[in-house]
Amino acid sequence: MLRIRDLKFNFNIWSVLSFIFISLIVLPNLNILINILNHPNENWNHIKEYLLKDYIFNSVILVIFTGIFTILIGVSLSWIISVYDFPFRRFFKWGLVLPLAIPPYIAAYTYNGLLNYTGVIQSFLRNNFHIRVNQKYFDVMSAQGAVFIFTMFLFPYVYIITKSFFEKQSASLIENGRVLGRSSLEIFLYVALPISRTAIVGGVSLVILEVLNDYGVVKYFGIPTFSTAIFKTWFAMGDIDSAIRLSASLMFMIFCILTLEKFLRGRKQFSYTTSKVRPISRIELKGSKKILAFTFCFSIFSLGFIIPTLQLIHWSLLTYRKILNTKFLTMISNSLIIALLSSGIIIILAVIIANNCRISKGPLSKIYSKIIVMGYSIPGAVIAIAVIVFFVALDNKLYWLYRMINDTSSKLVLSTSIVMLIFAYVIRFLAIGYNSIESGFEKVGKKFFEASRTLGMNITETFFKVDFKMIRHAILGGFLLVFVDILKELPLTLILRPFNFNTLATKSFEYANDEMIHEAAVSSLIIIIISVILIYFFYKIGDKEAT
Amino acid sequence: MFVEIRGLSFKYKNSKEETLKNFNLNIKKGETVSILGESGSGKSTILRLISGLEIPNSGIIKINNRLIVNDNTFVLPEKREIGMVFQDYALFPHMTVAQNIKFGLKKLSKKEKSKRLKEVLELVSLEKFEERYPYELSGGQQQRVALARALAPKPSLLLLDEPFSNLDATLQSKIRRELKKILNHTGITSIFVTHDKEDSRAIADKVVILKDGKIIQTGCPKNVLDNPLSGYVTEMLG
Ligand SMILES: Nc1ncnc2c1ncn2[C@@H]1O[C@H](COP(=O)(O)OP(=O)(O)O)[C@@H](O)[C@H]1O
Ligand SMILES: [Mg+2]
Repeated sequence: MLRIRDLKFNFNIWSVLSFIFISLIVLPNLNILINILNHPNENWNHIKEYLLKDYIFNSVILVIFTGIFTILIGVSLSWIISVYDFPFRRFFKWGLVLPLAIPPYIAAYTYNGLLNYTGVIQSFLRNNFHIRVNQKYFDVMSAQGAVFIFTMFLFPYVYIITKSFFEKQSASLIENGRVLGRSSLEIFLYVALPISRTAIVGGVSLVILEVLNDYGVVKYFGIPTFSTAIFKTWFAMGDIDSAIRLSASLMFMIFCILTLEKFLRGRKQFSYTTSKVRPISRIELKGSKKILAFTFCFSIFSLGFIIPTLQLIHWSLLTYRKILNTKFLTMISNSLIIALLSSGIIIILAVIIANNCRISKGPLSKIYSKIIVMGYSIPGAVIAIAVIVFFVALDNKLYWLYRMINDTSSKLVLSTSIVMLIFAYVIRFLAIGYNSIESGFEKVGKKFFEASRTLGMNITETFFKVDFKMIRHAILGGFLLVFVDILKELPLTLILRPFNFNTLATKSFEYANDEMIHEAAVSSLIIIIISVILIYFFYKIGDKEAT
Repeated sequence: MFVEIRGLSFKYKNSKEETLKNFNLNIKKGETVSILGESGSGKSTILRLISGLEIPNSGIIKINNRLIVNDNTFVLPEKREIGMVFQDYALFPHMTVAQNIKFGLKKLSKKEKSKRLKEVLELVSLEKFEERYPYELSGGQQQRVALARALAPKPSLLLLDEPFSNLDATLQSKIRRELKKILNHTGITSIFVTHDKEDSRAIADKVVILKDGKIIQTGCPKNVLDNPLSGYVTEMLG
């Protein structure tokens, strides 16, 4: 029964704003769904008959193998780091997160440049030892190569989530196992793995979403997947209807994956232990095991961070004189400003919606967080289509207004502006900010909020005087994560940016695609350096909170 | 009657049964009422409904002849002028004692704020602690700060949720006496909930015994605690 009184209870500026923002996110995506109901055209029949199978096959292969390898690497690393002590453990603990600072498309062309005929490795072998290798084994521009790149640069998602699970949840279980006289391997296989299933599935589904979102790697390697197909159908063939249909098929696949994820996670969601987290007492490794653990961590760290970074530094030194000019500086400031602006907007929206969801007792709040999380699962190519279709329609509707303001206004105003790109970033990355803020609120609980209300402060006053101070770490953490993600983002930026608007990411990709790999190094390196610094800060904040 | 609660029923969204069933209570001005019941009987829920943190499914609440909730009306918590001392005190950790207490005084001028701060600190005998942070205080001191903070805006009604549950048992009788003195001194109408009959005996003018969200017995502490009506009450009182 709906009562005016209950509406009043839930009606405030926070709930109104949340409703508006969420509607704005949903509208363009609904638009896509509606478009599917149109009759398919001829081109679609052609795609369906001859090409769709390939797209599905390639996407599935990439997803499955990357999934398997990231689990193997991510889980074993997180176990070694949480349970054993060995030289440089503390460094690797956060160093193994750093591959996330290197966007996969940058890694892709770096490894290609490193391994191809003219690259460092083959030249070295040829010039010093007169060895000519079989090109087959040095070709990364293949599905195997793509799996390698995705694995090495996405495994930290699995690593981070599983590691924090091992650290938080399983100290007592693992210790019990030890007391019962089980070997570490047995504890790992029979205790740790089963109980951390939820965490592993959570991490690997992030990896899978990233793989399906990717455009840069598969485009550069020439592997036809959904992402590249959507772009091709749309830009090369000009067939937006079929592009929408492809998007819908991709979304269907993602929907299946998310359902599978839910099923695999089991009924038990992440449970927050209320008692104080007890650290595991780590086992100190000796002799060959010590060397083995170190070598494993170091190899992964080298492949995922040191090697590509050194290669990029080398190329940067070759080309920076030619590259660094005022145009390049504009590009850096473009990148920083748009990342700053968008992350700011995203965090403000995340705070508003998260605060509303925590306060409101209405039924909408659960739906809101589901919608936000959905946004993150939509691949860039699909968001791009949805947003463009939406903004062009919006421009048509608003044309009279533009005319009123300016007689000579062109028809497309919003859809040629930066607004469209920021809007797309919001849809895609709101979940990242939201998760961070939500868990911040969760830690603080509601009691201070309630105390403040009984002391005469309304919701907004309470937010600024009480809540804001308590979740400021979560706000900063969320901001950093979103900022890094936007700085690295490729497909949305590539399509939705205004004419002649370049960012570090788009320029790196363009250079690499034009066979100017060395020239791409400087901008790539800047992305990596900024990301590393921000990730470091993010971990510092986390450590501060933990103590 | 100063506080009038009639036919109050409430169900949490995710629970099957009603947490509170047809709850009625009348309180005279200046009275101290104790709601006595086992854990989970719905005591905190009553306080949350009175302070406006939850919204009842049915029933009315009037305070000093002002209707604060019924089927068509809902006064927001910040507009109710009801003070609440939370079970775990909920002192703002990033504010000093003085800032915590001044928090509810936004309508006063700076000078009036300082004056009121002094008054309530004196009331709870914490004059020397105004610059401390909550974590620098003992449990008993924290509780007194929470009490001072709730009293500072001069609420018309004071609610206390298990005010003694987080304190050392050896301190309890002392703190009971102190609380009684403070309540008497201010003459405020108050409701406190507890699971310990000795609390009720020591402080309350009237006791309400609650079981599974229903009132079992009401009366003055002497009568209720010494002449329990039902087997349950006898058993619970031990
Ligand atoms: N937020 C909530 N959601 C659902 N059920 C709740 C919630 N808070 C309390 N309950 C349930 O309502 C009942 C009464 O709780 P409460 O009023 O806190 O009891 P008391 O304060 O007497 O211990 C309990 O069964 C409790 O489990
Ligand atoms: Mg309680």
